[in-house]
Amino acid sequence: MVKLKSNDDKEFEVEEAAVIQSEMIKNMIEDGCATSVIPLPNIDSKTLIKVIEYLNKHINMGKAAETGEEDDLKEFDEQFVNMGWEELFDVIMAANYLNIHELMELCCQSAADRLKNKSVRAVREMLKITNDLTEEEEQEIINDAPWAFEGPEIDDTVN
Amino acid sequence: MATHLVDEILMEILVRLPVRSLCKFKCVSKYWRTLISDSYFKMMHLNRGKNDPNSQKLLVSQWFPQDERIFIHCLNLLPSSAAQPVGNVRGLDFPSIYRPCRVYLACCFDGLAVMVINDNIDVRRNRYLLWNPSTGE
Repeated sequence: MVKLKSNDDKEFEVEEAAVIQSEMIKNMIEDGCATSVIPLPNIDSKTLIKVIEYLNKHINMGKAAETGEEDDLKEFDEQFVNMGWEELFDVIMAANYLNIHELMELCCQSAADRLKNKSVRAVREMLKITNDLTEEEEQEIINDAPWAFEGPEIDDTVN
Repeated sequence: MATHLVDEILMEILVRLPVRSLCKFKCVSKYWRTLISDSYFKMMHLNRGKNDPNSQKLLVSQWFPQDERIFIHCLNLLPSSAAQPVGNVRGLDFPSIYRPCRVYLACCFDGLAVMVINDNIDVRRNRYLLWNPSTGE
């Protein structure tokens, strides 16, 4: 077992087979630096619980194809990314920090899928971005590719 | 913290978006415009597209001599996907006095296509057109 500590001082025990999906921790274990608790100063306990949930579920991913659990994993992944924006970004940051390739892939793809058809206004609001382009600059971008700003699929809702 | 995305992560998300969304999101802010227009980002996006089976496309041109209609179709290379027209050739960006009466695709490389066009003014003369089907340029 490997012990992880979140930045709000909560400790979690995770099986080594699960935790080595994180390249960062795998390297630490190989270098013999994981003998006591591993502090994770960038990750809060709420996010760490989500990440551990993912790691435990994907522990035998290589074997999933043989045992026919692929559909089960796919369903889990779909449910897993069904979370709020803030939460999703926290998990992305954690996956990036811990270097968990599959989790990074899953969450970034989910974020991209959510943004894909959004209107410019909706994206600014969702990500709390202030528009600093002048009206002329905006118009110039629209004129370059007017087709990108048209179409029934463009979604102005914020969620 | 969450909404202040670091560059690296924002790029990881944006690189997964289709060209259409990226053209639109240049309008989000100055920073997004710079990031999306950056040549390193474009290279990342292209490389990702090349390695993603969902992004690989086949361009096919179709010519109807009876009524001089020309269509270019874009096919996904995945099984059982239907062809989608990428746009009527006449909608392309070249002087409107040249009405193309024949078009064929000469070659494609890195998402760009070279097309050979014969117009109705001088049928024997070939005009070469470099086209990016993703942006219509």
